[in-house]
Amino acid sequence: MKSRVIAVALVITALLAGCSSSKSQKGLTDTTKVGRYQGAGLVPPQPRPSFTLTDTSGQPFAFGQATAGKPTLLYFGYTHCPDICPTTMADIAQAIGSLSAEQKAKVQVVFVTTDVKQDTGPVIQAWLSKFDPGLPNRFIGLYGTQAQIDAAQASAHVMLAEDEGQQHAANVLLYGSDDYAHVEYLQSDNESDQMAHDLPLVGA
Amino acid sequence: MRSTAVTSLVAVLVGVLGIIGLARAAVPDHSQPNSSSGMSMSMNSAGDASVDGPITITNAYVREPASPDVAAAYFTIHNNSGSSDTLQSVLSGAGQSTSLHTDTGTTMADMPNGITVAAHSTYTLTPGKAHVMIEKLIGTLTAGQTVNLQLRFAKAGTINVVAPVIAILAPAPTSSASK
Repeated sequence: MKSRVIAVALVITALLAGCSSSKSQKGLTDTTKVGRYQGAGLVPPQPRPSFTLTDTSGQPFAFGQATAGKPTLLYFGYTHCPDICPTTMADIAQAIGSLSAEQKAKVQVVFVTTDVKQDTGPVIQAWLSKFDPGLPNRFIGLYGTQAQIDAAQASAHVMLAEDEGQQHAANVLLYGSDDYAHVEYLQSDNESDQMAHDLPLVGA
Repeated sequence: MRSTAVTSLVAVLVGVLGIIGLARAAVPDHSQPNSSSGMSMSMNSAGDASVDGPITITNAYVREPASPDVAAAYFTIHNNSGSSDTLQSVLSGAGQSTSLHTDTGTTMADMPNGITVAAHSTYTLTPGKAHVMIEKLIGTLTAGQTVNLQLRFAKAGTINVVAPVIAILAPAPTSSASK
């Protein structure tokens, strides 16, 4: 219990640090290395969550089962986000793109929309297709009802999005092949490098 | 001796007036051509930091949007003058609606008072920190095109910037002059 409180406090501190306005003019560069990962370490590690949403072809997608055993990057955002969401997805694409062909083939990326009203399957599909061309595994886009989206966020221990999905957790969770998230990523200038460094450590 | 003191005082006054005159001449005046340099102070293309007006803009770009409905513009503001200035608004030919935002990590916030840049300082709009949100896009934006941005500063007036549209996975433009 206590370590979980500390973990939450660490995450909140890291989040606050990540968006601190006292960072240099150049941008937000996070070069902290906690242990073996360049991303923000999660202590204790968080188990891969189970939630079921709908994928962009309209089929049910059980996240826990479908991604079990695979290094998976999970991100909650919305397609009308001008800045953080496209930047994060581009960082993810760049990180995977820098891996070997064998490593690339192992990594899954799942995007869950927090915008229940506007982000339909086709909208999500069109948006994701801007980021994953050339990668062996197309990014998976998921949507659902407000209750389903809230449940998914809760199971991943991220802040529930508010303001019609526009206010949302910006962290990218990385579940390793051991089905635990040992590390997550916060918005920074070298987010892509951090992910590229850590992916091979968690089974890619 | 009194005459020496008076001479010194006059010299100081002349110097101060001269400096004020230089500063005033450097502020762009829309009603008449700027005579302090060969180039108009109101035109400033991306990456061009060689014109030393009170405000220069570098590294402007628009990221090719993944959404057909919203795009973001970024740039660095250099306040070369001795007093702070405020970017009050940005207009763009790329969309009918533009907003200045800062990013807090979980959301974006409007800036009703604009972005104030202190004297002899820079402010960089960069992903995760601040951006210009462009909505109601006019046509599609693809890499290789350019976008006109009209920046309105409280003191420096209107500065026009031509921002290239860069591909989604392309690195953001940087230049050593922006430091």
